[in-house]
Amino acid sequence: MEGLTIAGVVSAVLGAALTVCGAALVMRPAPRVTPQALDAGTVPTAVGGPATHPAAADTGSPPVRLEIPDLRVRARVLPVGVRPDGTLEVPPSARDLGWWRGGAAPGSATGTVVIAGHVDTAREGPGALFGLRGVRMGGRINVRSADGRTRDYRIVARRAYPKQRLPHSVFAQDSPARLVLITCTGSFDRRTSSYSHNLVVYAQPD
Amino acid sequence: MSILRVVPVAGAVVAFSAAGMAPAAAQQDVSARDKKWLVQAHQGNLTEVTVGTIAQRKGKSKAVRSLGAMLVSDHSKLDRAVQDTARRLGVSLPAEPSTAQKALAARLNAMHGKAFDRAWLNALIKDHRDDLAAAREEVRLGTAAEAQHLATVSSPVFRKHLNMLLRAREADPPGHVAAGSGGLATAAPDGRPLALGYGLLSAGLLVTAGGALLWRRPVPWRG
Repeated sequence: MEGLTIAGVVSAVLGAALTVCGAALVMRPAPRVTPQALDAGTVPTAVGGPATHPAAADTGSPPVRLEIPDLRVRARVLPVGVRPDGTLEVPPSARDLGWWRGGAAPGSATGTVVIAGHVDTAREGPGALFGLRGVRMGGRINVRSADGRTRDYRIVARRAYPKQRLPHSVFAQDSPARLVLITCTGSFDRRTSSYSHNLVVYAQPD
Repeated sequence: MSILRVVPVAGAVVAFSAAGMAPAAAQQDVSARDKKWLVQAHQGNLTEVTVGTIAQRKGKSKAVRSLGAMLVSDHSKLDRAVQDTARRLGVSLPAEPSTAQKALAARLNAMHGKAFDRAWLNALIKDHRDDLAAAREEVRLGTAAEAQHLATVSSPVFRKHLNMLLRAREADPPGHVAAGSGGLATAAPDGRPLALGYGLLSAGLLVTAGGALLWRRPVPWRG
């Protein structure tokens, strides 16, 4: 009888402890800045040299195709501009990528090559960059240009930025030669059909 | 730079004046199209000088402010040539831009910062495309040689402006990228081990209940 009572008390206490632990795990609020968990690597930034207009240093050629072998991404790249409201155009099809024609072209000695693509669309489902948040640091991106050459880039960083605070530096043209891929991530607002964050992957010429 | 960009305009004006002095210019067949083009060119110049002045004052980027200055200077010169031609051809010109053009100037004047720059560049790009199309039409379909000549020599100035405006617009980086509307890629996994939590919770409740039973009802076991 003594033994059973002790066993009962121990079980009850242990059980209560387990219950509390479980409840704590379940009821802990979701972290607010979860997309930041995607941040990795070091962003290649401006070296502080004189700002040159991309056209001045431009020896590159507009991109036409992009591949990310790790993610089995193979997509067409189309030139895009900026809408009057300041948003970057993105090709209408979720499968295509848009190259900002105001920025550097692959092969340029300096400046950022900016390529954006849908993570998904309501109409077509997953887009070309759906898997972008899963890229590994050191992975490859291959870009074929209009001049017929393919240029290889190595992924060096990944960042999630709240959409309304996407840094201007992402589009820097006084930066070392680099490629940035931009898509969406974070939480999804069904009312506005938009995501809370932009996911930016930085790569350097290999 | 400033000298270089004045040359084509000055050249246009000189070339035009020379043509204007030619005796042949005296008897020209001035058609409705010539009149219409001269009026349109004049009002276009007035507008571009006005919005150029606004850009010098309100432009956020240096590119927009200096483009504004260039428009003021080039379109003032072009307009002097337009006025001279109109006078010689006996075409009377309105004193003001069109209602739509005045409304555009007012709309731009009410804007600020980057929004101003973007709206200004977009408006001026459209304006210069219209200028080029109108000059091309005048060259093709006009009848007064002097007006046609003016349209011909003005075109390179419009084209130069258009190219610079387009480049300025492309050099203006985007502020936002909206690249998802499906909601399939919601959030990164938030790192909470929910399965473990619910497992512990249910195991804990079971063990507590079992323990409580043992504790409370040891008697039947003895029997």
